[in-house]
Amino acid sequence: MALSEIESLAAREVGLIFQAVRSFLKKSSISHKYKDALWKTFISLSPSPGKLSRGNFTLLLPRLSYQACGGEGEFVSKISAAWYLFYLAADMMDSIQDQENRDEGSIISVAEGLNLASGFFFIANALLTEVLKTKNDFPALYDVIGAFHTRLLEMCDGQQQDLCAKELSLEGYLDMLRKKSGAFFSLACYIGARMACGRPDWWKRFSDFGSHLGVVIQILDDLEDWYKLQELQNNAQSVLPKMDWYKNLPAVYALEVLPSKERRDFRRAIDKVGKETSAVSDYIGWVNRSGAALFILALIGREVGYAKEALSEEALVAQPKEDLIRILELLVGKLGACSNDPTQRAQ
Amino acid sequence: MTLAQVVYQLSTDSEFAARMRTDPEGALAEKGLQLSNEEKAFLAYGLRRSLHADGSPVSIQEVASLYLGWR
Repeated sequence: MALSEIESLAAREVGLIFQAVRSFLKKSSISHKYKDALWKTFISLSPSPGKLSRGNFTLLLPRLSYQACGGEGEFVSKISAAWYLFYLAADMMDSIQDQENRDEGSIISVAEGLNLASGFFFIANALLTEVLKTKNDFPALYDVIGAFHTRLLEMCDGQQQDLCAKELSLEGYLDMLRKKSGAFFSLACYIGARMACGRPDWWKRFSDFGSHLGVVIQILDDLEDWYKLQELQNNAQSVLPKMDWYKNLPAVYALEVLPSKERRDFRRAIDKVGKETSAVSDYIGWVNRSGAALFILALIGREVGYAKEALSEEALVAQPKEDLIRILELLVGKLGACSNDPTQRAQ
Repeated sequence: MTLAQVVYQLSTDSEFAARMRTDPEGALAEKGLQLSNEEKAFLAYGLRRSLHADGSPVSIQEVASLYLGWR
């Protein structure tokens, strides 16, 4: 499917999600003031249908997974809306937690942010309850609602690991990525597959696809800070990015592989970097000399390869399956576009 | 994680890197490392993309800039 067609499908999905949230708020008994605050926050955090990024295409994951598994009729947009609201709530909490750790941000905005995020959590749950009232496939819906709870709890588990550890081993860090974004995007694909069919082997395939896609997204998230470091080197006026100098994938990799003496020196460089701008070059040098670029590229190749392998089932409906893979490829761009699918080469 | 150890050796030990090109099994065995066929393929996938045309390695900032704009 052409990029413009994916864009147009995603814009339609955004419209349906907006409609589900707007309808819920319209009939809700909460005050107009809280409704306004929730809606304004929802709009400010959401993409506009005419201006979507490649990351926004992931809003299609539940619907396309449903269609790829042969789901009949329209996918229930309230389920996609619930998933998206949980995403917004988690994202807000994440921002608040980051700000608290780094900026000692305003108490009022933190408190209000927590309350608005809680509102999103409960609207998402209410939308799922509404689906229970209107749909007859109770076993599927119970599984879907159960999956929301278990996967979101898993996400909190990952977040707790992230918040409580100053450092993580490479395995520990990758496990944390799987629990955070992995569990969340796995949920998106699982709910679509579960609503569409009664095949546990397919549910697992879609869960796995979403999990690998989620890890890719988390890696791209980590890389954004590294781009900012590049800007800092090119332009002395740039501000030092607010990044966790110990816990980002390239640094975690370097800490894992460097021999003990070099690791100690690297730790010293990390401890200086937050305090002296001049120490940034040293920090970057350590990471690059360790081969982090190659490791990240191999890791992205691995996650993309496993994601594609998860959907390598011929009985799936071809077009939506191809669209799911296209969304993955659009995320990783030319580098990850797997005409050279590594899993195929391995066989 | 063995893949990480192999990447580190490739990036810091030119003799090992040269031997990996001609005799990967021997090079890995000498270092006491083992990769599955899948891991070898992922490594090859990364290697194809991790070098400039002149053979110099790309930096992590360059990798980051390639993926920019997804959000």
